[in-house]
Amino acid sequence: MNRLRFDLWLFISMCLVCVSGMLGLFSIIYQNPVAGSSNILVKQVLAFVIGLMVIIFYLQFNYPTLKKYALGFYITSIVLLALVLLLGTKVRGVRSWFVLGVFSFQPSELAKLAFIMFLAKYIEEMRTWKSWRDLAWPVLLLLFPVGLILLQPDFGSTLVFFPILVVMLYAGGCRLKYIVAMIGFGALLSSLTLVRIYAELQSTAVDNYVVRVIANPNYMLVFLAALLVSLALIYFLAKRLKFKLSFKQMMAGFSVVTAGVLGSYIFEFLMKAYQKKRLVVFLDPYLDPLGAGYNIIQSKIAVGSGSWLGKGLLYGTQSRLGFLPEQHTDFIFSVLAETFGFAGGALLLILLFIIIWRGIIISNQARDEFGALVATGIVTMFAFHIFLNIGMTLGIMPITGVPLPLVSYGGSSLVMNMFAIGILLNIRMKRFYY
Amino acid sequence: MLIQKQTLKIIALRKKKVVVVGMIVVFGFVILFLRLFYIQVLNGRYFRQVAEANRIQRFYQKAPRGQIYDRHHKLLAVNKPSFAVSFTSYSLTQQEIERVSQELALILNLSFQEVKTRTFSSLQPLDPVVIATDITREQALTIMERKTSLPGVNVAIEPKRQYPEGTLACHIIGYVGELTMEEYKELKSAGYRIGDKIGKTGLEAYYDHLLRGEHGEKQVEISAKGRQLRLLRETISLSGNDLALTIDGDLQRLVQDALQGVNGAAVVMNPRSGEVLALASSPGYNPNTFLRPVTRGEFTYLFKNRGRPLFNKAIQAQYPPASGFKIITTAAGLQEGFVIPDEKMECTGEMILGTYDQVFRCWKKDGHGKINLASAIAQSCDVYFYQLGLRLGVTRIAAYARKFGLGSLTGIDLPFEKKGIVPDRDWKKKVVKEAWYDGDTLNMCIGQGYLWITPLQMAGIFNAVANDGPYYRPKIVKNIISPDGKVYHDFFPEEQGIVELDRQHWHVIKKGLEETVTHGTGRQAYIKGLRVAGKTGTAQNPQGMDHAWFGCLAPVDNPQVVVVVFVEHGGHGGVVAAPIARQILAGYFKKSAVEGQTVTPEEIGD
Repeated sequence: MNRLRFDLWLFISMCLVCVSGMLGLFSIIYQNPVAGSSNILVKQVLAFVIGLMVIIFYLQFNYPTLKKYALGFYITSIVLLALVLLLGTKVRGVRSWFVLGVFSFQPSELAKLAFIMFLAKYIEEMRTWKSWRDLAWPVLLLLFPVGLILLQPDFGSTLVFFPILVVMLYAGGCRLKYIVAMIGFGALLSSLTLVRIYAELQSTAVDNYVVRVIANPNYMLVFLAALLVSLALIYFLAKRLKFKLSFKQMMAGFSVVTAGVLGSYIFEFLMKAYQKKRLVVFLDPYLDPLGAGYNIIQSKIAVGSGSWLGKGLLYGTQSRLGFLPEQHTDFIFSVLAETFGFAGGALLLILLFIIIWRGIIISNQARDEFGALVATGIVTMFAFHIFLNIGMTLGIMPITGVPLPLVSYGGSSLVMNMFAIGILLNIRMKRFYY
Repeated sequence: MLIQKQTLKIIALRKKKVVVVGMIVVFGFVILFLRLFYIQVLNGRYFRQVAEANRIQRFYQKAPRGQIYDRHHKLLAVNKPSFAVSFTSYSLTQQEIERVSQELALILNLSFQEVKTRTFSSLQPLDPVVIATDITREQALTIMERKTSLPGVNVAIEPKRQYPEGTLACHIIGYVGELTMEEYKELKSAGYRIGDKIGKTGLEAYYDHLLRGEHGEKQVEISAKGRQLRLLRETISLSGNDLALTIDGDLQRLVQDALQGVNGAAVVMNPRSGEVLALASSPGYNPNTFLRPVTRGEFTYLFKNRGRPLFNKAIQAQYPPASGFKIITTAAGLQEGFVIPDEKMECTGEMILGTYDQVFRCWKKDGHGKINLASAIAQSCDVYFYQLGLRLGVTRIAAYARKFGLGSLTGIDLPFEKKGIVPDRDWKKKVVKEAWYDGDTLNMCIGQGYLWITPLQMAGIFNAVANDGPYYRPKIVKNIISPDGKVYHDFFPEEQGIVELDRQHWHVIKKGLEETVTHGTGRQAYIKGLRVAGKTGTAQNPQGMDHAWFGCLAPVDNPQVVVVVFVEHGGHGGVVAAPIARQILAGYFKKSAVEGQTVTPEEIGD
């Protein structure tokens, strides 16, 4: 193994991040025996070792072989996702785990990587983008796993598929206007949904003029009609002034807005009451201080009370006394921030940033389109999880139940994430190798 | 190695895009970094405090209030241990809270809805809310047994005030009630807490600072589920001080019984020391009523009854003293030399005054004829005193009234005492905005008109007579006893004032007062074998029935007791008030209260 080609920065950062997670689990076990039994640490260490072995094993291969297996990988993951609905074990109302004795496996973790590989293969083979119809396949590829995961129902795990799709399409040379349309659609859909649910739960918010317009379906209809009329006016005015405007483009823009508005209604209709609450409660945790808001409030208290240097290992009151919920999974960052303070939290952020940064550089230096796209997908997956999870613990993102990659407790997630790092390492090592 | 041109182009394009993705990522991390800095570094101190408040729960142990008992150690206000249930939601889920509420409702015999509204009423997870107070021992035990299935539920033993003698001395003892928001704001710095009981009236209010004691506090580290992990700090509660009263419970009972059925007040004092032996206002109330939710019927009685049960008429009712005031007119006349005891004046039943021929009548239509001073007192002849009053003038009369303590507070250790009014030229100019007329003087010298005094002030007049000059501040608390049994306040007689008259003048006044009881208007207070010196009074009331007064001291040669009886809208003092005083005197001296003589109101119309 050529030392120069092996990305030591990435590897060491990954190991340190994993160790920080184990440190978090250690303090949870010893501080609060109720929250976690000691075998979660054993399991996590074991998963880490397996992950290392997976990396070493995989480095013996050449990553383009993944292209060959991408379809099989994808189909396997879809089949597993279907099977888990039938044979999986229900944990807290979500049927997303295969439990085999002491070990459990979450097929949605596999599905993310499979999706990245298959999408990369598709994009590379397509080469040039002729029309919007070329988008149909990628969207279809996304809908299968997302649909199946929603049936579990695990809303949080589906979210990451969307940014992966958008960023990979963008990196893969998809025309910018499609990307803009997709992002616009997503942004419109999510922000409208959020505002409307917020207005529904928080009656004082309705005093705000903008909120009132968004919350009222009649106003939205008027808004769409006004938009259509003004677009038509602009079009005809431009025509008279001999100023070229694409009718098609304008209509496309209008339909994206309309789709966003309609989509937000469908989205809202599909969501359950508690999901709605969890989604918007980060905007104002005191909407539901004993329910969904409790997690955010307690997490912010835990993080904040860590101050500069933290309370010290085993001295975090918020985690030790059990005020912090879901300590070993969703809120493990809060445990670390409480224990090690800003010094520790910032250090962890820097390590995570190094991983992402190395990923971007690897994607940039990849010898072929496929490698670059896979690396981009993996980077997106990591970055999105990091933003969503840490943002949640800091109270600036909704509670979606997304774990912090490499840190949160969870064997299959850890192994799969380490495998993803292994792919990155492989892409870098084989970058001059044809 | 061969690199195709097309691939190169794609790679160049891709590099640009990767830069865009990289910028977004950097931006995201910067946001997370700043947010972390904001929460941990800029707000670290605040969140550290919140985390501390999170884990430390304070339990307050209420201090038992001091007991109150009478001079023979009969308990009048005590504390009974009672069980109170409170609930703290901690991090319990909605379903858990509902389940706990359901179980509590079953145990406490309350409706689920009622319990639920209370369990959900706390917004702060660590603020305990009171679910029920004064639950039975069985209920408390059941809850304690099921502690594991009732997380957040806490049963505490709290001392609860109780008045074992009920209505006895209600206006003296007063009662306690929940601290109001206004009181809390004012008393926060003195250590009062929301939910505390505070004396609302009577001794409970006057001596609240001594009775209340100090709360104990326990700081306990708790887990999110409300499990108490370890004790961080503890201070023990300190009981309040006990009060031993000068009141004689048996006499007080007797006085209250004697006042049964009338609206009025009575005061029994030891003139030698100022000790108040009994002080009653009628109708009374049961202070225990205020310790639980007041029913509609009780509310109507307490607040709508025309007799005003909550009003302590002995120190708060202000009425003209009527003929009792003639003692003061007599004292002024003798000492200032405007009359000698043997001087006889003619009473024709009326007196015509000044240029407008105003007629001032004596209570006895036919007049008393020629009588001397002692008889004028005994028969309560108004005309005699009209003439004496004109000679004295308002200034001297007012000055003597003040010497007897009228127009100022007696300083008794009870709240809300009224001081009455002693009118004079300046007062009338200021308040009524009119000049003082001779007619006003005539009204004043027989105790009518603008004069206002309380029954307790009337007792002061008789105290001065009993002691030949000095009179002592009425006091209700004899000793204050600290929780460790030390007496740190001992009773001592405190001179409230002194009326300086020559000895023989006091003799004349006493003679007149004794004659009042033996032959005069106070014959209804006569007791065989007891020398009583008293004075009737009938305060004219243009709106309705007159108010009846009777004040007396006994025995004349060595006064042991002063009794004042006042009956609102009672009619004539000699008819209504004197018999009540007789009952009290008979009870005090263990004499028979059989009516000696039958008399008609016409004979004792004052």
